[in-house]
Amino acid sequence: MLNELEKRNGVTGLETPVADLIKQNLPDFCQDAMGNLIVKKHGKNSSKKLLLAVHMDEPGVIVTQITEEGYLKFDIVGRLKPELLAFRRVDIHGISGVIALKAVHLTKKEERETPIKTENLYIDIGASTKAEAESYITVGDYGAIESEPFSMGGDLQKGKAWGSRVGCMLAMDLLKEDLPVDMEVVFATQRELGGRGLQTAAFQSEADTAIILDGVPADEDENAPKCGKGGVWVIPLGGAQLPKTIEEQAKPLQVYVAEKKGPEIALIKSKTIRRTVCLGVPVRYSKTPVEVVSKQDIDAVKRLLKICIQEYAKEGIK
Amino acid sequence: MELKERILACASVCAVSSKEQPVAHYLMEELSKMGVSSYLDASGNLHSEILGNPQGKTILLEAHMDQIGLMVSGIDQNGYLKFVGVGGIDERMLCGLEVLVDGRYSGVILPTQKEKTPKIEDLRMDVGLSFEEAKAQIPIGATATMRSCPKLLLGDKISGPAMDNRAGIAAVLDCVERIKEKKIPYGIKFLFSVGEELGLQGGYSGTESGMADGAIVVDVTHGATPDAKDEVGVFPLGCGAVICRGPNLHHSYTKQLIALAQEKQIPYEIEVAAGHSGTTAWAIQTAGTGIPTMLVSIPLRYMHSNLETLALKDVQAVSNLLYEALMGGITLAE
Repeated sequence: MLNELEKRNGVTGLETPVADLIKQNLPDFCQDAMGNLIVKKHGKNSSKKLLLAVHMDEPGVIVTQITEEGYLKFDIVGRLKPELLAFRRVDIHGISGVIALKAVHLTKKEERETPIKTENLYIDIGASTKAEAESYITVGDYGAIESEPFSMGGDLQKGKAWGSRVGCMLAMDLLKEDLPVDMEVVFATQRELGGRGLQTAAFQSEADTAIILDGVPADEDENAPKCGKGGVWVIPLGGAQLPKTIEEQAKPLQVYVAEKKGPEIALIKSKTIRRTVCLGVPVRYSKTPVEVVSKQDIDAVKRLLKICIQEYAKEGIK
Repeated sequence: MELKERILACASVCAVSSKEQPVAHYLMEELSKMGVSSYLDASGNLHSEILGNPQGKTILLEAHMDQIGLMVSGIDQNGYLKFVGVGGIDERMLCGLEVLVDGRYSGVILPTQKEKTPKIEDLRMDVGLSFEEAKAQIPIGATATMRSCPKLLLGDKISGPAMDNRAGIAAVLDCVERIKEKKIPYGIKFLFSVGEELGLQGGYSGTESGMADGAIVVDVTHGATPDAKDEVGVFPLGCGAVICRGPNLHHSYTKQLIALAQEKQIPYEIEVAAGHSGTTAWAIQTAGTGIPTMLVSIPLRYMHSNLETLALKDVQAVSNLLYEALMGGITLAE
C-alpha cells in the first residue's frame, strides 16, 4: 500500500489521485468542502472521542504561464526551495517535463554564483510552440515533483512525501482494527499551506484530543531525531512533555522539540479539542525531492500510535 | 532496432570516462549482431574491421563512448562518500541528485547547501551505509552515474543522462545497420573512443598515421532553451544535423557535406568553431601526418546535466547524412 501511495501525486490543491486511492480502501467516509476525507468509527468506549489527523498533500508546482515557444513558467505550491527544483522532472497529469537552466557551458561566472530563483526556471515538456503546449497543458495545472522510489543501504527507502504517505498508510491500517474508543480519522488536504484542511475538519469535530501524524526532519544535526532510532514524540512550542507511561512502552522512541509552527496550529479553531499529541516518522532530507525514511521507524511509529490510543482510552493523555 | 530504442538502450549503459568497459562490450555485441567484428586496443578504444570496399579510400567514423560522471574520493565518519567530478559536470545539478555508485549502490547527494553553486569538495553522497560498511564495500575510485531513466517528452524528444554522446553512438549504429548490406565505394572503419570528456584521450590514443583518408566525428552541440536562444552557437531542437566549419575541419569536404544535405533534403544547420571544435576532431585532424576531418553534431539542451534533452528528428538527420556520405555522396580527393 505504501508503494501504491508513493506512485500517486497529490500536490496541495489537487490531492484527488491520493484521495481516490484512499477512498477505495475505506469502508465509509465523507468528503468535506476542502476535500478532506473524514471517517468516523465507533470503538468500545463511546464516551471518549479521539481525532487522528494525517495529510494527503505534498508540495509541488503550478503552471502560471505558457511561453510563445511552448515552455511553462510556474510557481511553487507549499514548502519547497527553488534551488532544489533545478534539474528535476515534474509530472503534470501524465505529461513529463524537465525543470532546467541553460547548459553550464553557456553561463557566465556571475550567473553561476547567483542564487536560483523560481522566475529563472522553466519547465520543458518538449513542445515547440505555445499552441502545441496548450493542447496538453492549461495555466493553473499542477505539477508533482518526480522522485523515483528506490532502496538504499540498511532498510532505508528514498522517495517523496513520506510524512504524508506513511501517515495515510498507518491511518488506513488503524481503521481496519477494532478501536478502544470512538475515533475520527481525518485524511487532510493542504497541510503544506498551514493545515487549512485540518482546520475545517477540526471545526466540526467532537473529539477532545487529537493525534497528528507527520514526517519530522531527521539527521539535520546532533540533536535532531535520527533515522533508524524509532518513532518521534514531537513537542511543539508550548506542548507537553512525553508521559512516562508512553515512554516506557514505546521504545525505541525519540523526542523532538519543534521550533517551527506545525499543523497543530490548525486545531486552534476547534470547538472541542483541548489536547494535541504530535507523532512523527523521522525523514532525512525532509521537504526536498529526495526524502529518505527507515522501514523500522515506520513500524515503530505504528506501535507508538497504538500505545498513545490505548493510553488515551485508559487515562486520557496528560 | 528502431532509432528511439537504440538511443535509450545506449544511454542506459553506465560507463563513465576511465571505466568504459561496459559500453565497449555492449557495442562489441551490437556490432557483432550486425555481422561486424571489432576489437579493443590497449587504451580501451573500440575499433571495427573495415567494412565495404577495402580497395577504396577509407573513411573513419568516430564517436566517443564515455560519459561524464562522479568518482568516490573518500568516506567520512557518517559513511557519506566524498567525490570528485569526472569530465565537465554541471555542478548546479548535484544537490539532491540521485546516484548509482559502482553500478550497485543507489543513493542521493545530500540536498543541502543549495543557495549558490556548491563546491564539490563540500558535498557528500548518502548510500545508506555506515562508516564501516562503506569502507568495506565501496572502493575509493569507484565511479558513480546519475541514476535517472531517460524519459520521453512531447514532440519525440528524449531527456536523460548520457545523451552526450550515446545519441551520437546511436546515430552511427543506425547508419551501420543500413549500410552494411549495401555496395559502398569506401572502406568504412569505426572508432568508439574513450576519455573524450577527460581531454579527447581516445581521439589521441585510438588514431594512427594514415589510418583513414577522411574522418567524420559525431558528437553533440548546444540546443536552444528560453535562456539561450538567440546566441551564436545554439541550435533549436528539430533543426537537423549541425555541421561544423572552421580551421579544425576540412574546408572542402565539409562544403561537400553541406551540399549533400541540401541535395538530399536532410535538415541541417551550420556551426562555426574558430579554433578548437571542442570534440575529438581536434585530435584526429593532426593524427600522424594528418586526417581530413568533418564534424556533425546533434543539438542537445542542458548539456552535461542529468536531463540532457534532444529531438529524435535530429539524431535521424545525422544518421541519414552519414549514410548518404558513405554511399558516395562526398568525394575524397586523390
